[in-house]
Amino acid sequence: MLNHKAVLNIQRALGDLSGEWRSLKGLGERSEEIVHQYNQLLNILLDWGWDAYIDGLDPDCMLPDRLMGRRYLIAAKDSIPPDHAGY
Amino acid sequence: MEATTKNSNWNTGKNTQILAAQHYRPSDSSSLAQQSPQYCPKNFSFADDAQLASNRSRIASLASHQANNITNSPLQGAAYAIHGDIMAGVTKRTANSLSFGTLFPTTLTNSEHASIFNKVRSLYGGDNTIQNTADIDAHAETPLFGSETFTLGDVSTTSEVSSAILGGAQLLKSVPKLASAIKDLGSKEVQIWGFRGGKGDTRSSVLNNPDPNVRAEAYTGHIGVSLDKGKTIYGFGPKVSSNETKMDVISNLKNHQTYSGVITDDSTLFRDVVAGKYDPSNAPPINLYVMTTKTPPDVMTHLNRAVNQREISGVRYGFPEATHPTETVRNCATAFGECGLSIPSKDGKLINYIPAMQDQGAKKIR
Repeated sequence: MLNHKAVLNIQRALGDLSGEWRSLKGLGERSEEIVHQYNQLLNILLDWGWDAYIDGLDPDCMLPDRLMGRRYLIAAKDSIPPDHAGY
Repeated sequence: MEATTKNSNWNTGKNTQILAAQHYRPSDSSSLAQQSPQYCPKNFSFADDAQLASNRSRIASLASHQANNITNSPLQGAAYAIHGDIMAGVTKRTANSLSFGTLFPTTLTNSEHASIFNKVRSLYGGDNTIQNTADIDAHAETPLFGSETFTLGDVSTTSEVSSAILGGAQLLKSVPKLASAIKDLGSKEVQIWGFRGGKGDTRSSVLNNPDPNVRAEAYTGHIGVSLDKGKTIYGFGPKVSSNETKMDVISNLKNHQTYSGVITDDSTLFRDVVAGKYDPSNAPPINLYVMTTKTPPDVMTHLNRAVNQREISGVRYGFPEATHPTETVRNCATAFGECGLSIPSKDGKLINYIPAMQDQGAKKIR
């Protein structure tokens, strides 16, 4: 059974990370670190059994598709872009 | 007793003292310990009721003695009643500040009388001229509100004074409400409409449809405002070129790009959401909330100007960043805040905004 409050809090954290990434314009070491942390959190959600399609992320909480983890994109039934970064 | 027991600072000011005293009569002392247990030891029990009643009687006599002395003094009329109340208040203050053992002694000794005088002295700023009950009476006759001499025609009855004081207190209580009412004068109601985007297959059904009347906001979520109780609902969004697809725009926004901002009449979008037109077929339906906020005239002027001009001067549209809003970038959730509208959440993220709307009394429309 998913803890919905915990899921919501992680989704909020994802929103904060994506906002910080946008602030940095995706440049610099911190941006790379953010992408790494972001996908780690996504994997935690997926490990818990969170359904990325039925309970998907708000677009303003997401990174560009090329930086979203492959596992997430498959779960969310999104196509994997040609320039995918390999997360 | 209500004012007395509720007002823990009743001995900090003369006005407060009178408020408390007017509810107090010497006979009230019999129930002092029960009604004001904070003045009694926590482990106290009312086992010996007879002794307790006897001691209460002593305290009542002392208070009565003070009151009688005052009513025999040269001051006459209702002013005495005021002072009588004050004295009762002094007695109560004295009694409350004493230990329980002193308050209910088996015998009231001379030294205990002296202790009471000390307490009374302390109430009058350590005045050493207070040595006995006559001195207390003399001090009690000192007007609390200055040195004017009362004459029979000038004084008010106790009930008049009480009413005036209580009326003043009521008025003070009303001040914030009054200020709020004044602030609300001329205010208009503005509705804020909001929903988080549809999940499941809403994404593909919206983003893959080139029809501009099928709105991408059904997937991203959206916030709108209505200045006419829901007849027209305006939203703020990116001004996109005709050769950009919905998918392109969302991808660009995720990738920190900003657009010129534009205000559009989004009434149809919101009504379609209410009608369930954008609901996913394989996920929970979209929930839509509406809240009302009172908005002062100057803000209404800004909002009207914005919707008439279809823009908010100098404000571009962008997805929220670490600092949001900025001077130049806002989104649908924060744009109208630039006009002074009070918005429930300022970080621009709908995952926070919609719960904040709910916290502030938004109604779930569907």
